[in-house]
Amino acid sequence: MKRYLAERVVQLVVVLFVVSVIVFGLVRLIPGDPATVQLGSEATPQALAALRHDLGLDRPLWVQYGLWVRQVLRGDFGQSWVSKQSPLALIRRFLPATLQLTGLAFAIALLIAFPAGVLAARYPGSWLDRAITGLALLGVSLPSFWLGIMLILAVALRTGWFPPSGYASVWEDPGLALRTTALPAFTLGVGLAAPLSRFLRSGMLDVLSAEYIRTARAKGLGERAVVVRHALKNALLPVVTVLALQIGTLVGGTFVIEQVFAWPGIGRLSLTAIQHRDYAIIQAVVLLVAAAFVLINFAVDVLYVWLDPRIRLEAER
Amino acid sequence: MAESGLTRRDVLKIGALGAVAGAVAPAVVRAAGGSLRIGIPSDIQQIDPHLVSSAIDYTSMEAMFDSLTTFDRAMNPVPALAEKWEQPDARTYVFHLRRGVKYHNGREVKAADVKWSFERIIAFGGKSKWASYLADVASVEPLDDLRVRINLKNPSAPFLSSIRYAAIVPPEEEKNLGTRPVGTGPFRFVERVPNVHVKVARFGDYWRKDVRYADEIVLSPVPEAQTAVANLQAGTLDLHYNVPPKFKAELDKSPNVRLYEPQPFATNYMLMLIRHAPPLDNVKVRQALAGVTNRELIHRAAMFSVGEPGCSPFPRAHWAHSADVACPTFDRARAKQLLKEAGYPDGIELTLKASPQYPEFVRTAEIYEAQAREAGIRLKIQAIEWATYVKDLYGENNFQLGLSAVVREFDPDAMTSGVFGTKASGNPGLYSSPRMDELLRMGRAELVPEKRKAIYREIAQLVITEVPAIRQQTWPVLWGATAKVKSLHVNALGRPNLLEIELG
Repeated sequence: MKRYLAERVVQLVVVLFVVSVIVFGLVRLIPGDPATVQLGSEATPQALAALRHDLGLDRPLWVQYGLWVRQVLRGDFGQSWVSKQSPLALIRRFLPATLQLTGLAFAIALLIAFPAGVLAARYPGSWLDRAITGLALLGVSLPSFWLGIMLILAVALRTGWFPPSGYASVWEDPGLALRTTALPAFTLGVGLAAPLSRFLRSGMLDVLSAEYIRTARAKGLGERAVVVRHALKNALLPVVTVLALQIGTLVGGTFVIEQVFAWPGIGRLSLTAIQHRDYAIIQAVVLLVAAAFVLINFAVDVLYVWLDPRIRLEAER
Repeated sequence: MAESGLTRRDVLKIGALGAVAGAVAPAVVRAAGGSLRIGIPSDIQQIDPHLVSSAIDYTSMEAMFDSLTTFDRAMNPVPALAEKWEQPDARTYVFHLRRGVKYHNGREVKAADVKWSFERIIAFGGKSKWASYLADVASVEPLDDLRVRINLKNPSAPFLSSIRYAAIVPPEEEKNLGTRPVGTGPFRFVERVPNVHVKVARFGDYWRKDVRYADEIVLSPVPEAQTAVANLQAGTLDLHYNVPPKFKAELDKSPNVRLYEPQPFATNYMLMLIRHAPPLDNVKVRQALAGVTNRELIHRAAMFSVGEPGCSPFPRAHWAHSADVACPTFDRARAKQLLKEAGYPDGIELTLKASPQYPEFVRTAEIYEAQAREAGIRLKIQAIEWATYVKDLYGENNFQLGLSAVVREFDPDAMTSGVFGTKASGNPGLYSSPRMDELLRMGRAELVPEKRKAIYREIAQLVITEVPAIRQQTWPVLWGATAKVKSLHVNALGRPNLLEIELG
C-alpha cells in the first residue's frame, strides 16, 4: 500500500511538471504578448521592446520558465499585469461563482438524467424511450452558447423571472442567487444530462437482463423494488465513473457559459486572461486545475483500493 | 459653429468666456442621483489615466479625471481645470487654474501638478497613447500656484484639443494610479473587481457645482452583445457601450431601449489598410481596389445602414470637408483596366485580414471579396483573433490588406496625420509620401481656418488619388440606453458626457 501511494505521488509530480512545461510553452506560442496587448495598436517598436524588457519577456524562454517554477515552488504565482493582483487571489475570488454554477448544473443534470435514463431502460423501444433518446441526442447536439442565448431571449426576457445575466452569491442572497444561476446552470446541466441519461439507460438495460433480476422478480418482488433497489444500484457503478470524468467537460463548458451569461467565474477569468495575454493568470489556472484533477483522480484511486480488494491485491503483487 | 478652426482670436474668445464663471457649462443636468449601470463589451484593462489606451478604458478615465480643457457639444475646446488662458505668441500659452479645485484625496490642485502630469505622460513615450498628443509641448513652467506656462515647439492648431486628455493628477499618488487612481473628476474611485466591475462614486467636493449627476457608476463587462442587449431590454443595465449596428433595427422598434448616436456626427471611420509593398506599392493596383469598393453595399449589408459612407477622411458635416471632393465611382471594368495597366492582365491575388472581434469587418471583407472577383482581384480572407491581428498589422506590418477602425480626435489633423503621415502610429501599411507629409505639417501649423480648410481639401484629394488606404464610411459608436436614461449626449468620438446624463 505504501509503495502504491509513493508511486502515485511520483506520478503526480511528473504530471505537474509536464503540465507546467506545456502551459508555459503554449501561452507563449499564442501570437502576441502582454506588451502588444497593453500598448495597443499604436505602439512603437521601441516602446514594445522597452515594455518586454520590463516584463522580462526578452529573456531566453528557459530562463523565464526557471524563474517561474522557482516562484511557484515558493507559492508565488506572480502578478496579473492587468489588475496587478496575484492569480491566487483572483482564483479564490472567482472560484465560488464557478462552484455555484457547476454545482447547480450538476444537480440539474442528475435530476434530468436519472428519471430519464431509468424510464427509458424500463420501457425499451416504447415511445417514451424513443422520445427520451431523441431528446438526449438533441441535448448533446445543441451548442451551449446557442442554447444560452435562446434561454436569455425566450425565458429571461419573456417571463422576467430571471435576469439575463449577472451573478449573486448563494451565501449573500439565496433567492437572487437561484434566479441568476438558474439559466446558466440549466444550459450547462442539459449538456451533461444528455450523455448521462444515455449511459444510465444502457447500464440499466444490461443489469435488467441479468440473472439476479430475474430471480428478484421470480421471488415476487414489486417492480419498483426490483428497479430501484436491485437494478439501479448496480447500474450506478459505471455511471459514477462517467460522472467523475464528466467533471472535466463541465469545467470546459463554463468557459462558454460564463462568457454568454457574463458570469464572473474561473472560465471568464481564464478567457479574459488569454485575450489579454495575462500569462501569470493563464499559467496559474491551468496548473491548479491540472493539480486538482490529478489529486481528485488520486483520491478516487485510493478510494478504489480501499473499496475493492482486487485492486489492492494487484497493487501488492 | 462647426465652421470654426482654432485661431488665436477664437482662443481669446474662449478664454474670455471662461472668465465668466459658470459660463462653461454645456448644459445643466436636472435629474440626478441613483446608480448608473453601464455595460462594456470587455473588461477595463488600464485605469491609470496616463496609460489608458482603449476606448473602453476611457469611460472610467472620463469619470475620475479632468484636464485643463474639455469639449463643448460642437467639440470646441473650452475651459475645465483652467478657467482661462492667454496666448502671448503662437508658441506660448499661459493657463490660469481655477481656484480651490480639490483632488479626491482632499488636496488642492496646484500649477506644479500640471507640470508633473504633463511630464509623466511625455516620459512614458510610446507606452502612453497620450504622449503623442503632447508631441508639440517643449516645456511646462509653473509661474505661481495657479498659473502655468506651456511652451510649444511649433505653432499647433490642435493643441487645445490635444491637452483635453492630459489628466491632471497629484504626484503624491503616483504609486496608486494603476490601482486606486486619484484625480479631480466628478467621480472618485471605489473598487475594481476584475471581470465584475469598476465602481466609482460621486465626489462631493467636485469643483463644478452647477451639475447634478448619478451617485455612482458601475461599469460591468458583458462580453456577449446579445446578452448585453437583453440586459438593456430587461432593465438590468441602464446603458451599454458600443451596441453592434446589427441590433439597430431591432432596438429602434423596442419601446424601452433607445440608441444614441454621436452628435453632431461621428468621426471614427472604417478603413482598409494597405501594405505599401509589391504588388500594392503600385498605385494602379490600389486604385483598382478603390474602384471595387461598393460603399452602398457595405453600408447596408455590413453596417446595417449605420454611419455615413464616404471616401474622404472627413465626415460631410465637418468643417474641414470640402463638398467638391468626389469619390471614385464603383466601376469593375475600370478596375480591370487599371490592373492590366499595372501589369496584371490575368488578375491578381491578395490577402485581406480581418478580425471577427468586430463582425462588421468580416462582413465587409466578404463584400469586398464578392465585388472584387469579377474585376480580377481574388481576395483571400483571413479572419484572425484580435490580439494576433493587432500584432500582425501594427506590430509586424505583416499583411497586404486589413480592415481597421480609425478612432481619432475631432481636429482634422488628428484624423489624418496619425494615419497617413510617414511612420505614423496608425500607418502600419508604411505609406510614405513627401507631399502628404508636407501638407499634414502645414495643416497642423496653420492657424487661419480658411487656409487650413484648403490644405485639408488637398489632403482629401491625395487620399483619393494616391490611395494610401481606403475609407469606407464613418463608424458611429452606438450607446444603448433604457427608458431610465432621459437624455444622453454622445460626442463625435462616441464618448458620452457623464455630466449630461439625465436620469428619470
